[in-house]
Amino acid sequence: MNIIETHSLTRRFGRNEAVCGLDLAVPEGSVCALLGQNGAGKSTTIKMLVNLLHPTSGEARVMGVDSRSLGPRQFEQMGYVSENQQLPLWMTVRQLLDYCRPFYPSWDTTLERELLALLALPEDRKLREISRGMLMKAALLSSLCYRPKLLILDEPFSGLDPLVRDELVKSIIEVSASRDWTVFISSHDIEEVERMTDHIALIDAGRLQLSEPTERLQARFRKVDADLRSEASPPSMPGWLEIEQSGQRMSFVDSAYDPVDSPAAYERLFPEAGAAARPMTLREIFLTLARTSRRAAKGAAA
Amino acid sequence: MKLTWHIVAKDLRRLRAPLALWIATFLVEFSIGLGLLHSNSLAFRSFQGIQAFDVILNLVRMATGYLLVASLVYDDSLVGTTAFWPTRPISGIRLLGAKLLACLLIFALIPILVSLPWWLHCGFGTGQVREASVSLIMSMILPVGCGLVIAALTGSMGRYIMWTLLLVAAVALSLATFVKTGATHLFFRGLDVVVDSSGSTAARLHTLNMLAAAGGGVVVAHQFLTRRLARSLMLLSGVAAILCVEAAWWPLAFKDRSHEVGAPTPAAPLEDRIAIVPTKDALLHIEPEPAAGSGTVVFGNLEVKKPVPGLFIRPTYANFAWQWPDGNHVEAKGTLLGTQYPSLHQLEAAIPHKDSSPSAWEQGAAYKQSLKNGKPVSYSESVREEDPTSLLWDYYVEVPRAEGLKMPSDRPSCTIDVRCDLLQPKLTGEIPIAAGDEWAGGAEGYRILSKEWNERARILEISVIERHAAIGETVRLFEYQNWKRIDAAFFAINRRKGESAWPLNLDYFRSSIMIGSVSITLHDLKYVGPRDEVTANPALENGKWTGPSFEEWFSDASLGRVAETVAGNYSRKVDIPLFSATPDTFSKVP
Repeated sequence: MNIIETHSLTRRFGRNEAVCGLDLAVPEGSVCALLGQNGAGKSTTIKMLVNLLHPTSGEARVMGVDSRSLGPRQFEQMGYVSENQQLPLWMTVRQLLDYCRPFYPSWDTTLERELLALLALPEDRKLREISRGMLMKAALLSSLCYRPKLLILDEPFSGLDPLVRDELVKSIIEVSASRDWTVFISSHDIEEVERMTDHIALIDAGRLQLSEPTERLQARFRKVDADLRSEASPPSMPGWLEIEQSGQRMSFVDSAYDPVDSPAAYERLFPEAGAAARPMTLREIFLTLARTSRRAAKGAAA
Repeated sequence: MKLTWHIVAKDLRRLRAPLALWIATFLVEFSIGLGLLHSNSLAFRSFQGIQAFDVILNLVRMATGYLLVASLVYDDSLVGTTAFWPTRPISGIRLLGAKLLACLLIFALIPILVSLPWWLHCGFGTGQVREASVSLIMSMILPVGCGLVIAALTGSMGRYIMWTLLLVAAVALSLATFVKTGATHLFFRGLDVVVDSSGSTAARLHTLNMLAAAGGGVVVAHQFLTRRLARSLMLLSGVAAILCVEAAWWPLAFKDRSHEVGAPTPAAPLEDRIAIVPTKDALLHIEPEPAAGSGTVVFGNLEVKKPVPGLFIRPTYANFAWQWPDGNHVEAKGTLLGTQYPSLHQLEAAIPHKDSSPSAWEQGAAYKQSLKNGKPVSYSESVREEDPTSLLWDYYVEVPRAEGLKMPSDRPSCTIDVRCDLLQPKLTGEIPIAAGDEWAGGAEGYRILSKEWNERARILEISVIERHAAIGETVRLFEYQNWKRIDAAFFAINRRKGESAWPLNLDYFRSSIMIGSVSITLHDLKYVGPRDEVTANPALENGKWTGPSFEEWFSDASLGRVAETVAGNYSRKVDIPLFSATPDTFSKVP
């Protein structure tokens, strides 16, 4: 079952189309990352999911409810942490928790104590006096103590130094590993996300590029280096991206790699020298897709 | 409801600093009031300084209150996509309820609770406390209501202030435009009638207020429930359009009954007694260069003959209608000015004569004759050149320029619809002329601050501090007849001699300050002696009294006032078959 589903979700700001016909499905229980460059439409998508923005057209369903109809009953089971969220900075961490607690029937004070210790937050410091990393942790804490079914994180690592980022990622991994909930996280910080996600959605210029389990995505992408015996034009297959030739060397990204069929195909295409395929990191996949997309956009514009 | 209170508690904690300032403005003002009421000496100049400070204090309170509304809303902003509350289990309706509850606490309950000791100290009864509370709340509705609407549609204090300035500028510009172009005839036609709370204009204005309140409420509720700014702005535009339509077009014409309701029938038909007649030709002022409006004004007098003894007559309304033989017709509302002070006879009729020793005047033949005629006449009345039973009222009325220019050569007929209040003067409780801490009266009280005999000028100088309930003087909800007492002067009364004295000048120095529905007035009174004696022996030259000293007379005197209450109404149509208006010396007749 999908906890988030969007159908032709579109949002326009004047003439600018921030999100265009987005069809996305996030399975319940997954940790899903929405990746994209700055301005790709990640935050707009998330804001539509949590009813901070209304779609221009299309529909988003969150926990089975149209996002425009999300109300207190749904938000009791949802957590939302965003880098842009205006937290009540005049409160201390303790006051923030005290303020949030009565709104959630499922608030777990034991978990609250555990998380306070885990995140090492100073309870009596005002939010305006703590660092940005601490602030994100406080926001995360106030969104975790009621054991939400769905936790939505919008660019939670943005602007954080590597140490704090690492701590935050560890916290999320630790918490998410021990609970049965769905985490939907948007980021352009791929390395951090890679460590925790099991589902990836890639968005570019408001359009969904892909959405699939991380394992499958990494399984089907391979960076292939091949030797050509002659300088003849290189072969090409559907799913090959960023094909580059330099003399007798050729490299490309195979986005449809199959562990059984692809090596056989490479042998057939490069019979004399063969080809070496290596797995790609999420970052490499993301960059490949982003460059491909940009090239396609330029081509279309030309 | 528990969660609503939880949000309110959060807001109050958040706003505790400005809230403390808000409360402090009340407390400081009441401290000033207490200081004034219990001071032993107070110079007139110091009082004026306190007045200025009170104005500043009120401005600070107004600004604090107005910014408090915005802060209250902005703590859970309704505009933008970064607010904290929309992604928490807080519904728009709960937030709206919490904000309204907080407004009720901050702008109603807290001011009332803070004001209560002050009101009780000033002798307010239960009814007055209730009325003052309602009045206080009503005075907050406009700024809080405007603040709520603007704050709900803006996301930051900067925009809030900008919108406020724009609103103020728009209102000022509209009013200026209406006045400049004479468009008041289109918008709020006959606005001057509102002063009388009569007829359809008042109903129209009340409807406008109600529509504005309801429209503002709808916009605020819509924004809280949907957070859709564009739609809320459209809704606001719709409300503004409805208000403009209502102001420009009004299909109902209510009959003005304000002068019929509650008018007690006088003992004898007034028409038989009172006559209102024009005294002489009117003057016509024609502005040489009429830049704004018509610039053509008719000035004249009306004489009121045989006013009812014992009652004052005060004009409240005058409508002039001119009719030319060619069928041309012009109507305009004018202003009638007529002030009546209580005659000594009226005053002294209320003073029992304990000591029958007659004054110099009372020993005279004229007074004895007047007694025989059944109407004792005081000295001052007897020496008047005019008929003491007549009054002279001034009027002025603006007329369209074309008709004004035509008046001197082509004389029209004129009908003046005059409406008046008949006021019953009554002597209030007397105050012994002795400086001290004792207050005379309850909620309406006086205290003699100082009493000093000035031997050089041979005048008695008295400083009186007065307090009275002034509920609704800011926002008029209740007819409060005691207001009329403000205009009444203090008289010195000597019961043993059965005489009275007016202050040297009826327009004596007095200054008022309004503190929490209580008006505090400082009266700077100067008396020479009993009126008959003073008038009979005019010996005051260059501020120096050269006549006899009445220091002893004042040692037995007390202070009293004449309060006026509406005893009835009177209306009369004055017909002038040929209205004559002569251009004044400043006019330039083309």
